[in-house]
Amino acid sequence: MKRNGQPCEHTVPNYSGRLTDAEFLAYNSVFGAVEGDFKELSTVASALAEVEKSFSQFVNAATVSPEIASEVVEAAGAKWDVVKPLLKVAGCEMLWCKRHVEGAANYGIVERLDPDSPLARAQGACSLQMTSLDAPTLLRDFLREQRETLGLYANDIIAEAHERIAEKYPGQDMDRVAKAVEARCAKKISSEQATAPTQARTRREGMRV
Amino acid sequence: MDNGISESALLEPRREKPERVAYTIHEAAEMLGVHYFAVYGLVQKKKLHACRAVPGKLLISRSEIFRLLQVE
Repeated sequence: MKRNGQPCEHTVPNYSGRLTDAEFLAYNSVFGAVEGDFKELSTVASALAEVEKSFSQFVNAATVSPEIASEVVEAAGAKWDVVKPLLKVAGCEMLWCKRHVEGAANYGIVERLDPDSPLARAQGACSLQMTSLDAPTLLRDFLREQRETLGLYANDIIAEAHERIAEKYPGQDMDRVAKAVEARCAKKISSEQATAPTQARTRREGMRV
Repeated sequence: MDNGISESALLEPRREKPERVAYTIHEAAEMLGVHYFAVYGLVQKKKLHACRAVPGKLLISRSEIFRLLQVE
C-alpha cells in the first residue's frame, strides 16, 4: 500500500494503520517530545490497574481485617485509620481509610500532600476527598474519578503532540501521526478491568485540615 | 563609565517580563509544590478552575493559583 507515492509499512504501538517513512519519522519525533509525560501517565495507570486487580483485597482490608490501624490521619476534623495507600505520586498520596461513627463503619479517601509544599501550607496536608458507608461503592467511585483525571492528563499529552506537529510540520498532512499518538494514550488509560457503575452513595468532601 | 554599567546598557529600553496570566498544569504544579497528577485531580474535582486553549492544553489562571495558595 502506498500514500503520496510512499509505501506505508511502519507500524507503531496501539495504532492499526500503517505509516509512511515521513510519518514514521514524525511520529518518533513527536512521541519523543511527550514520552516523559506518557511514562508518568503509564505509571499512574498501572497503579490504578493494580488497585482494580486487587479490588476485593482492598475492600476486605477495610471491612474484614482486624481493627489495627498502622497509621491515623486527621482530615475534615476527624481522625481516620489508614487501611492502605491506594495511589502514590511524588509528594502526594491517596489513602484508603476508615473510621467508626456511632458504631457504624465509615470509609474515606484522604489525599495527603507533602506537608512542606506551598499548597499543603496554605490548605493543610490532608484532605478528605470522598466518604461512604459502603466500601466497594467508595472504591469504585474513587477508581472512576481517577480514570477521569487520567483522561484530562492524556488530553493534555495529545494537545502537546498536536502543537509539536503544527510547529514542526506546518502544512503537512500528519493526521495519522496525531491519531497514532491519540490511540497510544487511549489504550494506556483504558481500564484493564472494568468496574461496574455504582449508585451515587459516595459523599464528595473538600475540606483540608 | 566607572560603575561597571555600559552607557549602551543604560540607553537600552527596560524590558521587564510581563506577568503571566495563565500557566500550564506542569507550571501550576511547580508553584503549588505538588505532582501534576494532583493538579489534574484538583481540576477534575472542580476545586481549581482551568480552561483549555483551543486547540491546546489546560491552562490555569494566576488568580486561581493564588486563590489556592491564599495569596492576597
